[in-house]
Amino acid sequence: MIDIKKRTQAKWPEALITELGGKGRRAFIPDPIDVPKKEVSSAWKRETEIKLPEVGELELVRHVVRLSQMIHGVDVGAYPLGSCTMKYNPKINERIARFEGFVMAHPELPESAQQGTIEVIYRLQEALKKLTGFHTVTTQPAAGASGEFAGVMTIRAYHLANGDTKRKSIIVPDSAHGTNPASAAMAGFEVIEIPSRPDGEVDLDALESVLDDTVAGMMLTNPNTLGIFESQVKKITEMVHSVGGLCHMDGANFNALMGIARPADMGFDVMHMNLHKTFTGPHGGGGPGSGPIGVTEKLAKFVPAPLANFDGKRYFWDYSHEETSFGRLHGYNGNFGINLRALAYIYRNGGEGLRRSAESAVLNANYLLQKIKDIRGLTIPRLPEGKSCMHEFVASAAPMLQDVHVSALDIAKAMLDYGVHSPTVYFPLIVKEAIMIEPTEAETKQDLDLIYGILKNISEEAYTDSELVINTPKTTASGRVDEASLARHPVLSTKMMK
Amino acid sequence: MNGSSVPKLYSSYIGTSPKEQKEMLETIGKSNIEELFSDIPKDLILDEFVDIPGPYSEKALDKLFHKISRKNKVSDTLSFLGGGVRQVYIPAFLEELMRRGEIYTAYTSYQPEVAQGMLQMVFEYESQLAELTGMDVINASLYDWASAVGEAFRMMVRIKRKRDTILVLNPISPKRLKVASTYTDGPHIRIKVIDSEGDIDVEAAKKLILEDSALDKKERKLAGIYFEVPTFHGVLPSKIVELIKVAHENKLLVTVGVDVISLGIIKPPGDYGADFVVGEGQLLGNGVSAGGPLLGILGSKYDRKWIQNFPGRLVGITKDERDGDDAYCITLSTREQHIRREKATSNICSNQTLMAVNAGIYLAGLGPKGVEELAQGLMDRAAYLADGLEKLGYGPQYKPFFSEFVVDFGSIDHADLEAKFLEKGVAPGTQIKGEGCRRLLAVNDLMTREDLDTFLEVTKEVLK
Repeated sequence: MIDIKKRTQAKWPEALITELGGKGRRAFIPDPIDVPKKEVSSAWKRETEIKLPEVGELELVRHVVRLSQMIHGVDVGAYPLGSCTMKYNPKINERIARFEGFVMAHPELPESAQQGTIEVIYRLQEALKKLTGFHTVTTQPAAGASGEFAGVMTIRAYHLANGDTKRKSIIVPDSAHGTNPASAAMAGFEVIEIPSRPDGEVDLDALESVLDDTVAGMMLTNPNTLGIFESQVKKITEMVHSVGGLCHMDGANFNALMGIARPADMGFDVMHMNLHKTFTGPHGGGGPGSGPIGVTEKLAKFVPAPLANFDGKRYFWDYSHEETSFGRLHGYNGNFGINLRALAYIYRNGGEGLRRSAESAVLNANYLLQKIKDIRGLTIPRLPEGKSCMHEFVASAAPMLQDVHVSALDIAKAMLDYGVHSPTVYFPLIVKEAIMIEPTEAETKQDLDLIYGILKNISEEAYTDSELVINTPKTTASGRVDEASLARHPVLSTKMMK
Repeated sequence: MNGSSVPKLYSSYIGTSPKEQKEMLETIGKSNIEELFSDIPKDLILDEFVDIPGPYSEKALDKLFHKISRKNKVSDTLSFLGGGVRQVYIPAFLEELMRRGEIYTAYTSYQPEVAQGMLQMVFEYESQLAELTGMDVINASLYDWASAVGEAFRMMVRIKRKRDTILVLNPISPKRLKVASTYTDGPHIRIKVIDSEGDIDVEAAKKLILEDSALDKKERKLAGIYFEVPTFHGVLPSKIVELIKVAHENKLLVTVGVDVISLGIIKPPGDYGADFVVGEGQLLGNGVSAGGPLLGILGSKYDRKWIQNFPGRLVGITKDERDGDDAYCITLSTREQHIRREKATSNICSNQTLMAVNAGIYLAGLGPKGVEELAQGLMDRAAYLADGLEKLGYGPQYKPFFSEFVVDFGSIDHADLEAKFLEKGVAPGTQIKGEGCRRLLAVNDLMTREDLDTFLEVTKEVLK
């Protein structure tokens, strides 16, 4: 076995914050205000006690620091989580996002007082237009799923504006992220799922068989969730167009393409980008993200208003298309702070740097793919021999499950003991025992070798004594948790513990 | 393009050196990186670098963005802007903690064994918000208050199945109403708005509810009602106990939007019988950040059927099967898109977890006394400002109010008023539609008495 060391994650027996502290302790005391007190009317006065913690500043700080030591982040170790693009989050972006002029700016300041805000959004719109080839970009969607929703709502608005009311469905390949069908359904569409070919690409016959004039459009991830570029993408978009449908590209995997190829050139009418993936917005433990959409000229009047615009002298909110827009998605400007970080990342790299980043991401994935091929019990079922993957690839642990009853989940859990995060498992749904690996360009060669070594080690352990793998993780802050009991008897707050 | 076979190390964010990349290419049997892109049709590959600004050095980037940030008139402007979000004082310990890479560079806690810290913080957020709002369950966050309203409307209709209409009692924020309309457009949920100024019109709402209730069961349309406390015009509404009673008697669900800080002194929705609560968690120590990232709050009383209809993630407490300790994980995921796909309760995946964590630490830092003082301080500031304005002839149009109120500055137009106030370093609230020059003025916890006096002085000078 390769000499790969396990590590022990910090484990603090950290009580709930509500159990800490003591009566009268406080961490943040608001400044008193030297004006007369105004009493709340008796009808509106709060009577129930506010059962919040009473903790001092130091104990609160220690509580959070200890808890943070029980979290695996990109800053802690390798994070090859497929489809999530866990790349490095540059620290300069964190500094910039906290500049007072940004962080303290109210979104409804008069235009003349928020030229900085509008300029950032305008510059980002322009950069994303260049990178995707689209005519118009809006940064209002607050996450990828919100961008998908924006995309299908734009498609819907376009058909309705043409008086075309018979288009009831959106086509989604079976390899798609769950958000795709969920977003289409949220916009009121029926979802038609089509199967993928054995090699992972869209099955054109299956597509042909569902195309007619009731189809509003298609959502397609490219590269797809198997990490494969849809080589017939232009044919696919043409086919959908031929029956009057429109095509939305899910840009979750745009990290493989940025600066290399533009979705508008592939025939897409709209796409969403995930700025928290491709453009280094930190994932924040689950969010915030940001999911701008780009659209072609004929769809420009349907996107949410306002857009940021510039008349050569001043920046302004452009509401000129508001009447035809499908509506608003966010109370204000979407996740401005993430958009700002994305812009900083884009400018830090420039066109060449972004291309090199995408190339490096694809190289890292292919290097790891090549190495992993020799691991016993893992296969790469949807990638024909000799074919390259893009920024990620999907392995299957089906052979290992059959041979020694070690599942993809067991492998994922075993990896945690080595101080790396596990890949995405059981997605895409079309691969049995899927292990989806995306190393990103940020990882070093040593990290890639480490991930390979860990998987190799786990495989050898599995075939030697499968219990070694099944009973993991062992050195993490917690072992596997009892999810089933919780789902049966939900305890969702301290109130429900009583 | 004349792509070099081995790329230069362009960005310090790329982990491999050119030498290593060459070795890696050898390992995979390729002579250059372009070969890895051979599946992409040639005519799709750009033959030039995309023409965007950069590369900037880190120092140059810092300078550029600092310069842009200063174009926002913030440091020298007193902001009386509210309407859902507002400036807040962010304690140093909070800012420091939120810069911990372990926290902000983590993904969603799908591997709970290495995410216990994150899960516990989300659970602590949910628990504290449940206490503050008087609810039992708070989800792990939605995008913002506006989208939470949209999700709440969809949820009420899902629970009530055949009924498709939500009754909205104005005044609520026009932007929130717009977002809710977008969220409800696809499934053809109808929003019926009862217009009103200042306070909500309970009598009109009761009438509509009773009319609906008198219909044959199959003909009934109303699924739920929504109003805000305080209303968008700042007012603590009247007769809501009566309204909620009538709604419940007629089997409607009730969602209330709140200013979460106000709950330090104002009765929380759980205490007057609301079923669901929504609100804006930016107020809980998150930077206003030009309108995002914000924090959509959604909560409810516990009811198994309702919870199964919830959008977004829920974190609960359970047991570590290895060590027997308390442990946390995301639960009831079968509602969510990654499992239920087109039948999911919502499409939401990435949410605003980091803002929820921030809010949880902020609330714990404040404690019961702090949140009460903060709320009282806002109410006192607003009352003082309103009294001062009243003496100048610009009293609040509607009472009683909490921290925001509507003032009519008369015949001056909005743009003129804004320009003149800004010149003196004051942002005079937001525009409210209607006759005259109506502005919604909001105070915040950064303001001192001197700041409030400044507003009064500027009002005198501008409107003399």
